[in-house]
Amino acid sequence: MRGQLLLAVSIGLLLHAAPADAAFVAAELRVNGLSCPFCAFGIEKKLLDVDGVQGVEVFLDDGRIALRFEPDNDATVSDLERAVEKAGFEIAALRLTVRGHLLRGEQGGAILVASTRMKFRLVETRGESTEPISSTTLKRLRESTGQEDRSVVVTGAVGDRDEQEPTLVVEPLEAR
Amino acid sequence: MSGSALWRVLCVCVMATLAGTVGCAGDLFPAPRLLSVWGESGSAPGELHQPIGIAVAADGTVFVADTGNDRIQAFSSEGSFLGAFGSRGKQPGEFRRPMDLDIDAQGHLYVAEHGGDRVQVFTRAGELLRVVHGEDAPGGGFDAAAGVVVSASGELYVADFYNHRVLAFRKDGSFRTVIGTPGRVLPGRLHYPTDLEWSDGQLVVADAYNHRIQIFTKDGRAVARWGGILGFGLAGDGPGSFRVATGVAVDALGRIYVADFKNHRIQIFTGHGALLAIFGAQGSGPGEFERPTDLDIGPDGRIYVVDFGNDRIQVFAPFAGGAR
Repeated sequence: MRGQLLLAVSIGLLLHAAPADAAFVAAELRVNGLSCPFCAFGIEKKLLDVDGVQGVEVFLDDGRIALRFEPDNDATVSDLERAVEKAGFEIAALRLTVRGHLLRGEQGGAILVASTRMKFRLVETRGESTEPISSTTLKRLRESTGQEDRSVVVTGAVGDRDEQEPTLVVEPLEAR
Repeated sequence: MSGSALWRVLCVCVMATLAGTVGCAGDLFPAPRLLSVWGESGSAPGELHQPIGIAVAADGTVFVADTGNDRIQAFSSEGSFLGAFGSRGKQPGEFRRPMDLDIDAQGHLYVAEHGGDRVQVFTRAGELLRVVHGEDAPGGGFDAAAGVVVSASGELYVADFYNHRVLAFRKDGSFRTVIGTPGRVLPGRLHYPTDLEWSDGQLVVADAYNHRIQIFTKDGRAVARWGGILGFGLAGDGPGSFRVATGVAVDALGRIYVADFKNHRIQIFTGHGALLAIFGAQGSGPGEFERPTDLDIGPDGRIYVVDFGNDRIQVFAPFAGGAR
């Protein structure tokens, strides 16, 4: 009971720690089987209904969908998943650019608090495996963002989407 | 036609006839002759970006739902640009993905809007007359208005894409009835309907993702269906089958033309569903299609096809084959 209470307080503190400008910046989704304009414009319609989504561009030829977000939005990965499901599709891959607040993870690595409703475990690819993000990469992320506080902009593929705290596989900075 | 192709046609027709779903026209008639091709990709006046719907007025003026550009464009029957109206937005007179259009006896344009969940009615010059949201229908209106048709008596029918139904409205715009229920296989079930036409006092529905055409009475009784074996809604590429039937048109003789989207072709049927002709194949050459979405028949019988993936309109000579 005491442990649960501590966990709840910790999570509360984490979420409270979201900076005012923490938010999704952009996203790129891929869905399978998209070839009809009725479906493409349907996905566009459903995604535009998500709070915080500012613009949607659907590329019929390769099933790619590019999203832009309003500043200070509170969107979540689940919001995007639900919208795409309402249009009759499933997200096959999701790449996000997120502005957020870095916190130390409980098991090493870092947590990116992207909004009051969304946080990610930051990981990176090393060889064949995916590992918690290293302190070196974190330092480079902070430097690239040029912020003196702990806010950073991270781009990466979203993994473990079913988890409460999905992973964000941070792309190498030179790949952006 | 080769012997094997003829055999396939006969097999399909025999099976369908046994099931009581369609008649059979026997051998097919020659394809209509291509007359002209017009439109280029772009957003300048007269250019097209992802066009989807088309309607031809009694004087031959061709109105195109230039969906990717969120506007309606008007062309002469020879393809000369005449004008355009609309731009992207949610306000009255603006568009969020205009998908289909129809023209009533007064010459007014009805535009079904996927993203805007509404039908807007305009004069031919683009002056907004009224907006139908369908909020008095069950569920509170449309979820992506994909197709529209106005009957001779002025009743409005709207293909309600995500609700898998057609909504019927009286001439004054008030809700009248729901036609079709969501589902597959069974008569009267609809799965993502996209286009409507009116024929002989009955409603013709492009039941797109059931890969079939269904005919309903004006009160919603399903009376006929075809597309694939028994009209059960199986996609196919054989004669008489569809792979997403997105667009439908009816000519003065009651023949039904279907845009067979993923098969990149047009199929022509009698009013009872007997196959008369097939034309088109995938490509970007003259007479070829890249996912045709819709078509309409001009007052002189010319066939105007929206060649969605090629951002163009193709015009074919009146069909000279059999009648109903």
